[in-house]
Parts: sequence; C-alpha cells; structure tokens
Amino acid sequence: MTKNYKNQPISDVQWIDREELFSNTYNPNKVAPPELKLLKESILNSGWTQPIVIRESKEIVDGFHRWTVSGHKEIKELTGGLVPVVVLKEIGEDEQIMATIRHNRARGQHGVRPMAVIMQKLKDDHKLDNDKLNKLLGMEDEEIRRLYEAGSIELIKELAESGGAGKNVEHIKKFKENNDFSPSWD
Amino acid sequence: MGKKLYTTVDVYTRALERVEQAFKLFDTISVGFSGGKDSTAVLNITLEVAKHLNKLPLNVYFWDEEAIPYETEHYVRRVYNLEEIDMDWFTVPIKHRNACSTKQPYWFPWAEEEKDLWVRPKPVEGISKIEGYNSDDPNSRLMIPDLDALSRPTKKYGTVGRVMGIRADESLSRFLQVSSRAAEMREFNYIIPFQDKGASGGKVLPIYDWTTADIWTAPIKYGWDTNECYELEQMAGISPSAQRIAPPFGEEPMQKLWRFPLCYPDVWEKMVDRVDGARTAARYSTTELYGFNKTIEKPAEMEWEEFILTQVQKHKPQMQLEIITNIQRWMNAHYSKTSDPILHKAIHPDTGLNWDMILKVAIRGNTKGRRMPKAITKHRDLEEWNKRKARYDKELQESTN
Repeated sequence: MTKNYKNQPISDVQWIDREELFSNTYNPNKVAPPELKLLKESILNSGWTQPIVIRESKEIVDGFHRWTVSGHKEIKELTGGLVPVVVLKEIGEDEQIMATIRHNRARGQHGVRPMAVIMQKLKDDHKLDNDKLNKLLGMEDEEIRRLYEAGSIELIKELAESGGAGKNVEHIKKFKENNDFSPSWD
Repeated sequence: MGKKLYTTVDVYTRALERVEQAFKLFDTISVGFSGGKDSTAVLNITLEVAKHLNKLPLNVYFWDEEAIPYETEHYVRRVYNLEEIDMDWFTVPIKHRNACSTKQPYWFPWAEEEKDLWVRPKPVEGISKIEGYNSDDPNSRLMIPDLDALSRPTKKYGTVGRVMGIRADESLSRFLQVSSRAAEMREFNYIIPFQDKGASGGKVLPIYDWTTADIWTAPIKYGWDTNECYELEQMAGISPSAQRIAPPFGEEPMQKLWRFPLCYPDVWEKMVDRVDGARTAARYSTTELYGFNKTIEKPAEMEWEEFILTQVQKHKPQMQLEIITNIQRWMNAHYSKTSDPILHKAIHPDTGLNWDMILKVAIRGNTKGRRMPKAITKHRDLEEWNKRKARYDKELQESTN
C-alpha cells in the first residue's frame, strides 16, 4: 500500500486562483446560511484543512461551498485568492457526479447524547458562553440549551406549557392558577 | 364529549375517579402499557387506585415491537420488576405497517424466520406464544389491536377493562375515536365497549382530557419513573407534543424517523437492515417522495383519476386494493352529497375533499380505513364555510376558463 501513496490525489495538492474554478450544474447539496457562516468560521479559525476536489477542466466535484466562501473578503486575504485543489484525472461525467454524491453523503450524524456531554464540557470546564458557542459552533441558544440541560422532564413540561392548548388556553391558564393540573372536561 | 365542557375538577382527580369506576364495572382491569408518556400516566393512576382498593398486583400487558429503543426496554423492565405489577411482556410475532417501502408494506417484529435480523435480542421476560394465535404463518399474523382480544380471553379473565393512554389532543383521529356520537349516549363517556374474538369488556380512557403539559406535571409532582427516550428526543429538538415512542415505520411516526440515528444510533444500525426503505424514509419521509406537503406534479395531459391510479400502482397488489377501496369510499361520499367536481387544491365546502388529499393517500398507501377529511357544516361555522365556498368557486371558475 505505502508504495502507492504518491499516486493518491491528496499527495498532489495545488494552489490555484479561485477564479479559474467553476461550479458544476447538478450539485444536490444545499448548505443553509448558518452552516455557510460556520464553514467560513471554520476556515478562519483552523485555516484551510481540506482541498477542493476538481476535474482537469477545473469544474468543481466537491467543495463548492468552500469555494463560495473563499470569495469572501477575509478568507480571500488569507491566501491572496488562492485555493487548495486536488484533481481527479480522467473521469467521465457519471463518475464525477457519483464522486460528488459520495463526498457529501458518506458521513455520519452527531448523536444527541454525546453532543450533550460535549456541550456540558465546553460550558462547564472551558467556560464558553452562548455568544461564543453561537459563533464558533453555529448553534442557536435553543440548541445549546436543549443539549446542555440534557433534556430534563421539567424542561419538556415547560415547553409543553408554552405550546398552548388551542382555543381554551385562557380558561386553562386561569384554572391552573389554583391547580397543578388543567380542568377535566366531558 | 364532542364539544369540550370544562368542569371544576382537575384532570388528575377525575382520572382517579374514572379508574375507580372501571374497577367496579369489570372483572379484570388490565393496563395497556407501551412505555410511552401517556401510558406512564395511566399505569401510575391505575396503580394508585388498585392500592387503594386492595387489588394488587395490577395486571399489565406490553406489546414489545422489536424495533424500539433500549431506553424503552429498560423502562419497561423497571416497571416489570415492581412487586405490585403483574405484567405480560409479549414478544409474539406480529404484523406491522411499513410505510417506508412500496415493496414491503408490512414487516413482522419477532418473526422466527428473520431471527438473524432482529433489531434487539429477545428479552428474557418475553412471552412468545398466545393460545389460539398461529404466529408461525406470516399470513395469519395479526396487528396489535386484534391481539389485544386474544391476549385477554373472557373465559380466563371475565370482562376486561383495558386501561389505555389515549388522549384527545394527541391526534385528530384519536380524538374522533373518543368523541364519537356514541360516546355522548353512554353513561360513562370514557369507556368504549368491545366484544371481539372471545373477549369482551371496554377500553377505558381515563386521561382523554389531559394536555401534554399535564402528562409531564404528573411525574414531576409524584416522582414517577419515566422513559428516558423523551429526554433524548427533546434534546434532538422534537417538540413535546410530537414526541412518540411508537414503532417508527407507520405513516405518521415515519415522519420523525430521522430522530433514530440521532437519538438511538445502536438500534438504528440494525433497523436499516430490518425493514426495506428505512434509510430512504429517514432521508426523504417529509418530502414529496412520500407525498408529504408538496405532492408530485400531475402531468397536464393526464386526468386526475388516471394519475392517481399510476401512483396507486406503485404499491403491492394487496395494498392497491385497500387504497382504491378507501379512495372509492371518499369519492362515493363526495358524490352522494353533491354533483360538484372534485378540484385540485380547493376543498369542497360540503365534503372537505380535493384531489391533493386523495393523491396523498395514493402515494403514502393506507391501511387504516382513514376517515374522510372533516367537512364543516354551514350551521356550525358559517364564516369558515363561506371562505371555503369562495375558494372553491374561484378555482372552479379558473379551471373551466
């Protein structure tokens, strides 16, 4: 195996001007604005860690959104408009399309339980506040709270209360000033 | 029960009263326990009453549906081990809907022939045989409501009050079950009598009027043990009223299938190979691929009936028949009320029907004899009726122009 590593695309990362690249027409991957912001944050914080994957024609196979944010001022200034690329050589359109999908799809999801543990560590041990977490992890307060409080049933109840009870919400509210439970009905 | 008439008594107190009454009416009281939040309430309330009436241990039954989180299994086991509880933990092969797949519309939890695919090992407490139920043959396997009767035959249990955690605010179809006209005519509006396959008695619904907030107030106030699943689902961002622990492959639960890889990765790993279409549904169940929200576009050259038929034909033959029967029932009901055409989007003011709804049933498949969408009558809500009528007339005019 080791003797072939030099043939791997990643062994030949090149820096080229982002203006030379162009997007493919079929990319099914959509990145929502908060995640795009996070991607930018990621490059600004950690620097470029992953190349953009292109064909010899310089059409993008994977990394369209990295390429998009590379046009933003602060990121452009990091490298003077150069972006790291690796080239997939001699591939047909079908292979290119499938490579795009595989790059996007072959990844896991973050389980909520381990995420809750991480959130507690970041907040308790590392004293990161919500403002920082909003920015550095692209999480809104709602997600931070749900993970950090690890889903207590008190929180579920609180959310259920605020969910309202349709037309009778006022009636139930009044009744509950003196009772733990809502009024029964026939 | 149809229109809510509030009383001055809180739901908890009323639930205790209802259960106490049920103990008087039936020979056996048996709690249908699912491990879900509603069944936590009925279990603990019935236990409270049973203690008070000196009727311990409390009879309980649980249908283990195989593809359930370990959190649920652990919670059920804690309940099983309580001294006051006498639980039947059923692990018999049953028939389940799989709305994820057009190729495999049913799946069979605990089927012996698929032993190597089981999502979880069979619990040691499990009861795998029920007298009078042939579960070896896939064709004779039953769905859970039908098995309820076989599991509690009159010859052994007398009349049975099955205490169940069904609530009106859970879903519209369940509300209809509770609020049917028949219920208004009965002395005890929270009891639905049944007589079925050698069993008789009543479904007892003591918490039908509880809100989701009440469901959580009770365990906090009384320190009841609960299923940890809800805490996980809440972390995953599922709202309290949408949290479910039901088997995840039916039409409605499927829409939240994506929560499994997030909350229950160990179970999910097995689930993807257990039923056909699970991975596809986790990705697309809330898109037009599964008839959700947006429906698939009808080609302009095709008539509606024809287009709907093409969608029905994507299902298995047996399922096709069920879907068509259901659609015909809807359409007959429509044309028995009016000779107006069914329109694409605007629902008919008197029948509540449009092609989009029919199309959804055709795409999703349907096994439940789904009720026709509710029409609102002129005298009940004239304002809404007028609105619908205006919308209907507008679309009718546009479509004929």
